[in-house]
Amino acid sequence: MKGNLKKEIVNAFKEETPDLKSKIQKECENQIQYPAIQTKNNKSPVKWLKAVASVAACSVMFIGGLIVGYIAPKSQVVAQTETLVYLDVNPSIELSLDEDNRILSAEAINTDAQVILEGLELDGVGMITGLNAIVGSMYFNGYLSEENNSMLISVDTNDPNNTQNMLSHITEEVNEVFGKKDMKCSIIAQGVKVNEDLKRRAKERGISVGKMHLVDKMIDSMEELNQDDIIDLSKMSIKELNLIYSSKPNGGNAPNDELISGSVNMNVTPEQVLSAIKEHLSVSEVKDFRIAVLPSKIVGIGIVYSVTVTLEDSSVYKCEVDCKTGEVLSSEKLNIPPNGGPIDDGKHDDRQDQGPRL
Amino acid sequence: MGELYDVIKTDVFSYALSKTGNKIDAEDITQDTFVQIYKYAKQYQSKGKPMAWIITIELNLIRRHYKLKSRTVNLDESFENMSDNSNFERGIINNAFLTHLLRTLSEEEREIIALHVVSGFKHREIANLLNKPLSTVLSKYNRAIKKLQLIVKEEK
Repeated sequence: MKGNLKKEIVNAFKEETPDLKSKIQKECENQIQYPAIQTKNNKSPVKWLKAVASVAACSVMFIGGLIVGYIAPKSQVVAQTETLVYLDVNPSIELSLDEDNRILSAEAINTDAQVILEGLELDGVGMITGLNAIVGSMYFNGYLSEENNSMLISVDTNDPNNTQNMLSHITEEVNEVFGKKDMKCSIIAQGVKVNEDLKRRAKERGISVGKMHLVDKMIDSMEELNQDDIIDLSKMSIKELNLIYSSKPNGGNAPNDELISGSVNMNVTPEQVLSAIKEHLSVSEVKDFRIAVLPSKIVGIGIVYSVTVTLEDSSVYKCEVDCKTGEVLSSEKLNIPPNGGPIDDGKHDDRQDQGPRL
Repeated sequence: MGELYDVIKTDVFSYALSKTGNKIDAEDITQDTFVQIYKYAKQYQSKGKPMAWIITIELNLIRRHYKLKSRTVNLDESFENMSDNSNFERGIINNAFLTHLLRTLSEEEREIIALHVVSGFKHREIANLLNKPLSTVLSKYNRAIKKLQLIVKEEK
């Protein structure tokens, strides 16, 4: 019965499938193709693989012919890449700019980015116009929104003195595009020196070099993180990385080649966190409330807020709140000496506390 | 491209039809999907799962299609579409069983049926592709099959 049913389903769909071949071929003739991402070929002989490979092979011949017949003679005056700009939201895009900041090429690093770049003619366009178009397309396609407002901008320029200038210029521009949509953007802008090692490691993890560089920086600069966290950090969204990285205390000494602006729109707002804690501790008011992000908890249970709350009776509690759900995961009362000396944050069982029952 | 089209046309079309439930939209999405495949074929990173890559492209196009539609369709345009005979004829589904299938099953059920039965994805692969728990995919698939068995029974 089930076998016959499956056959009937397949036949029904087959019967209705229209013949669009000539239409598609005509449309394809008018299309430009995008450059390949170099990859190792796995061996897996499936029917589709063969077919896709044949299309790819045709593309190579087509592009090859194009280069020999048309582009090559003109390339004697090809402009040099002066700056590479990597834009990461989830779509990851690489822009090559010439010395006048005109876009020489825009490359989609992942499938999402292909959607963003589709239909955008960016070659030869000024960087500002290009950024406007790209950020607008990210917004239009739903990759940037009120909730997902984080962007990572990485700049690799031949003139290191120009890095800071480029970072602030691009950040300003992206903020302006966001402003037009009545939204605020949270941006990490960073200088990056792309080398073969960085490229290789980024490729291994399927992420952009900008994201790889940020992950490296996080591990280097945050004592809570170590090399074992690379895999988890690589899988995180830019929003999550931004959330952790921007909570890093730097004592006001941000590196020259880094610019952090705006704040991440969190799933759970600080007000919601406070309200959850009040309910958890069965109190209506608190004297003081401090919130930080705990990157050490990223493995396993996701990002956690570390919250220190001082109650009206001066007792101090340290709580952990799930960033995504707002659930209070744990709480402990800290021992504070009567003279207001340093807090003893040694862990102990909540049940032994004199404070509110948790 | 012609060779690829012949091999996977039903897979691509049935997925679009399962998602949209509308033949005209499915045709447009199918066409766009093949054009995108052609355009980005060189960027395909072989992981032995080309059909998953193709479905991802198609899914992005479907999402964009919905988004554009929700922004652009107004009453006047809908009326124009209804009075456009060529579109109307294009939109008719001739196969009675398929009409029942599209009407009876939810979008998610149709999607899973198309991916598993037509394109041959394993349930675990579907779960990965759609970012859903395997148990959800299995239960929806079984529910859909039961509904379809009922349709076949009633037809007889």
